[in-house]
Amino acid sequence: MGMRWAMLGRGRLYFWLLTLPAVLYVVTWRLAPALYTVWLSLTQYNIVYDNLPRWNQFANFGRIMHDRGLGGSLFLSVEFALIATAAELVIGLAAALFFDTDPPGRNLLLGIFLLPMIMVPVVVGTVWSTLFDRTVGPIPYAFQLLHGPTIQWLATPATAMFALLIADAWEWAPLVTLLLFAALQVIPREQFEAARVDGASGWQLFRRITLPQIAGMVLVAAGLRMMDAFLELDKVFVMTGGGPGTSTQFVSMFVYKQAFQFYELGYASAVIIVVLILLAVAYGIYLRSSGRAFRLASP
Amino acid sequence: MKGARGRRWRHLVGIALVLAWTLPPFLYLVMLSIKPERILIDRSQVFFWPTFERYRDLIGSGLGLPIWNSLVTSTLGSVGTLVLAGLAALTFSFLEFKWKTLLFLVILLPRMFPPVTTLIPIQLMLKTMGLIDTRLALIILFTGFQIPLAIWVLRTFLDDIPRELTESAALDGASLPVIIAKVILPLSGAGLLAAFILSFIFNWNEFLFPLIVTSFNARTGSVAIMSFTAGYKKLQWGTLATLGVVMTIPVILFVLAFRATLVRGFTAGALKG
Amino acid sequence: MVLFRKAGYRMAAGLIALLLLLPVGVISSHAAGMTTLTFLGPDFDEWIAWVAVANKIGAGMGIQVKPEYLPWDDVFQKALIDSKSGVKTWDYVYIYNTWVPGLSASKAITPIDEFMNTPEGRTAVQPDDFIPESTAGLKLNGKLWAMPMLAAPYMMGYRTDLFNDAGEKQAFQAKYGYPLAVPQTYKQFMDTAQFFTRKKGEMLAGKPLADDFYGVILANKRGGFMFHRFEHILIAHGADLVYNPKTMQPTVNSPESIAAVKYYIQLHQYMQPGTETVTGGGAERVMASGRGAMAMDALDNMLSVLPLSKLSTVVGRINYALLPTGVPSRPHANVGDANGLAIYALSQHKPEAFKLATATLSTQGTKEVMKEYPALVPMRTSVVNDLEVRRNYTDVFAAMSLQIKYKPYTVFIPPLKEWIQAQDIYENALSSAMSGQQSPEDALNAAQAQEVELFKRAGYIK
Repeated sequence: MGMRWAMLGRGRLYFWLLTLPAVLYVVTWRLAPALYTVWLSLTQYNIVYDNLPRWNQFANFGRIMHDRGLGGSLFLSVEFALIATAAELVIGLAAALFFDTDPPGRNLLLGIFLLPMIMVPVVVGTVWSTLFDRTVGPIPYAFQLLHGPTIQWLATPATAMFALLIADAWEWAPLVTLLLFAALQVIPREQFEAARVDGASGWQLFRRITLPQIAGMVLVAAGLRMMDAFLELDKVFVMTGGGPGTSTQFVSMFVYKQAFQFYELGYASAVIIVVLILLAVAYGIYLRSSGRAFRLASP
Repeated sequence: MKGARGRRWRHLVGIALVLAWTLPPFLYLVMLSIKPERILIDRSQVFFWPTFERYRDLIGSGLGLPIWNSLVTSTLGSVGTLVLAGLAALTFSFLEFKWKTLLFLVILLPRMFPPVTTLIPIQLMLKTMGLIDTRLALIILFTGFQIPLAIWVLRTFLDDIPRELTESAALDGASLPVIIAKVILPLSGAGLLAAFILSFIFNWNEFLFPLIVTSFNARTGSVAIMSFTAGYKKLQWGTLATLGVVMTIPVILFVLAFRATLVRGFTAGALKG
Repeated sequence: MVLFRKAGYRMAAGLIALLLLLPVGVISSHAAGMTTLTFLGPDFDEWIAWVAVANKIGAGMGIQVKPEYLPWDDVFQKALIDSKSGVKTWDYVYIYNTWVPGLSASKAITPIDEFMNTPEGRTAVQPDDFIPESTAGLKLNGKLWAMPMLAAPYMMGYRTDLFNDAGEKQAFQAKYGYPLAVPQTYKQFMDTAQFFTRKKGEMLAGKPLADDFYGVILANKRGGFMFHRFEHILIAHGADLVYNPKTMQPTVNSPESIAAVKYYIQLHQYMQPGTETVTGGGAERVMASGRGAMAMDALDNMLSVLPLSKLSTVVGRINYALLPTGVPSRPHANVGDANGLAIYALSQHKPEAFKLATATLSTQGTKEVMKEYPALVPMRTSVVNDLEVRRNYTDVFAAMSLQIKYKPYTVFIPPLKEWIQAQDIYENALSSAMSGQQSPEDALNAAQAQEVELFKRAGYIK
């Protein structure tokens, strides 16, 4: 996988020059403001009432330690991210495999399947909020018509979480499909033919040929979704506003409230920093092990 | 032949499943957007005489410029991202160096930052450059936003390019730009397209930064459309449904228009048997 | 290679288009001699009406108004961030009474008082003409921070046809022992709500119901609506709005507060099922399709939906009344709501802005706005008592006359820096208790602990 740079015929310097614009860009427009966030986390700064940030050392972080709300939020976000990603991988893979079998009208179908992903997230939240709405929504209506149990969909903790998961799967499984489909398309067909000639079953084809070659992309998709689902904000905001009580108050909702409703930028920054450290650690581990897994999976 | 008929059956079932999964919520949205107000809440009324006045209102409220702004900034932002990220992805893919994982993480990190706290410094930076309320400001921001994602996706595609091809080209004495143009670029069509589509969509749906940075001239579609519902009073199922449909239509058209290219991009390349 | 070339053409076309467009962006419509004033506000009907009137009146003064409509919450954010980063675009900013402490503290707006040092200034504003119960929310530290535009008193809307029905009256008297009438106390309110909550198929006013019917329609969405409705019931029960302003001690778990929560939970059984997820406008839509006997909401919310034949199936069958009374010392207790037009602190055209603002929101100006937007609830006594208004806007006149005549006990959200956080803690507890996750006592005790911690951190108590 990693290639000797000499093989590409140019010196290291060339490569550094190639990367430099991107790195500089990210540094100026993303990293530098991010460092501002780090500084803010050490201050008391209510953007409405405080003229300037006031240095208060680690008081914010001390407060985080005692903040039970934050702990709960972290747990909820992890729970949501794990279940959502798992669901999306399964559904996305199934769809990608289906598209790979070249059904008639595949292009159009793929385009349609991608619709949820390209919709504005707030609108997706609104659609599903309306679908589950007990006065206006068709899902409770269907339950009513079929004499099913009357469920307070978005007003009960368990079902609210369930509703959010369904909405998320609907919205993002297409992303997984997009990535996995591209990976599937690259697998040479001869491998399948040869294996079939040798009498391999469908499942064996999948396990021995398909899976290893899309493993890399599966990990990319999983990583992307885990991260984004963890930071999910729009749908929660529209559908439950944090849930009955705080049962769907994800980390992002918590930060949003601190920053945009309470205007406590100092504390919000501290929370962001803590969350990011946790994420960075998780991702470091992920990248290490995915590199290893990828190397193991390659033929 | 059993095999062929079995396959057609499977195709039909698959198509039905895909449509049943994706379409109903969207169709419901469309239905709500044309249902007259008085019977909106009446769920048993599924057949009715449609009304298009919500669309008339929405379009009458001057959405032309904002949507055009969205198109321009999203496209150019994505192009910028592809260029910068593409070059960087080359390094990540082809080069082995000590701090690779760390640098990757550093590039990825900003993506995890909720943009909330970076609003003010960015606004200040743009103001010093005199770029408040300009499309250029949005293009600059968008380019930067999607670089991490693009690098990630592109790098994975680049990893798939057989090293023998590039090695042989190098051995033949080709310079790096030539190698990029003749060997790498054609084979990374799928990756470039995927990265472009993804970053375009994220740019198109971006709300927070256009909201803060623009006011009249460079307003984007996402801001204009959201403001049409203006918070609590008008946030109605009907209006919202119209909004959802209108915001999605341009991107739908875009994807449908390019779908052949899209899929061809995925299947192109010397690698497919 | 084909792909590359095609993409190349497309890119080139795009770039050319962009280059053509960049310079086009900044065309400002400067008719000769006209001053352009910008308005930052929400896309509500009343403000669209105001902008139309402002352009009409302003034409005579050589002024035109260019609006920028944003979602409601974002107006505050944008005004705040723009003023902090020195952006000078705006002249007018929409303001809601709970924003006054924040925007005044961050110096984003200039108080109207600054323009009233001259006799002309005072006559233009006519500050004594405003209904005090409605404008108190726009005042802070003795200064008026915005020109009052729209009052939004919380009132009860009820179905006159149901309350006048002979059969219903008989049944109610038989069940509860007193005549059916517009509820004056919260006990009566609960009884009435219970009485009118019926299932599909049961009879209502002599006809079988095609759908479930509900006693009361309310918007209880988390994040601003739920507490906004509940707060009236809270103070009607004699409790503080979260804390005692004299001692600065939170009183979230006082007996009155717990009683109010329990009352609301009991009332919840008679609310429409989607109440936790619906916003104000959504709730009124439900009422407008004839599914509820009573609604409790801001007057202008109800007025903008219920009397319109395009949206409502109950036109002509709704009257408005003051909120019921809880404890006798607080008759018809409610929390006030006010909307106004403020002048941006960094505006470059302050004198013109002031001139146009007072012209459009004078007695005559308000009447013009009402022509464009009939559901406008004016904040000037002269407008409410005006003969034309009395004749043409009977609902508004009837409702506002009640306000003026009975002077209901009105409080406003206190100008506390941490108010939103304090409210959020309470709303969490309320939502938790309502969904049955915790008992009211447990929820409120936990909330009290959090409030105390908040107040300690803010330095109000030791």
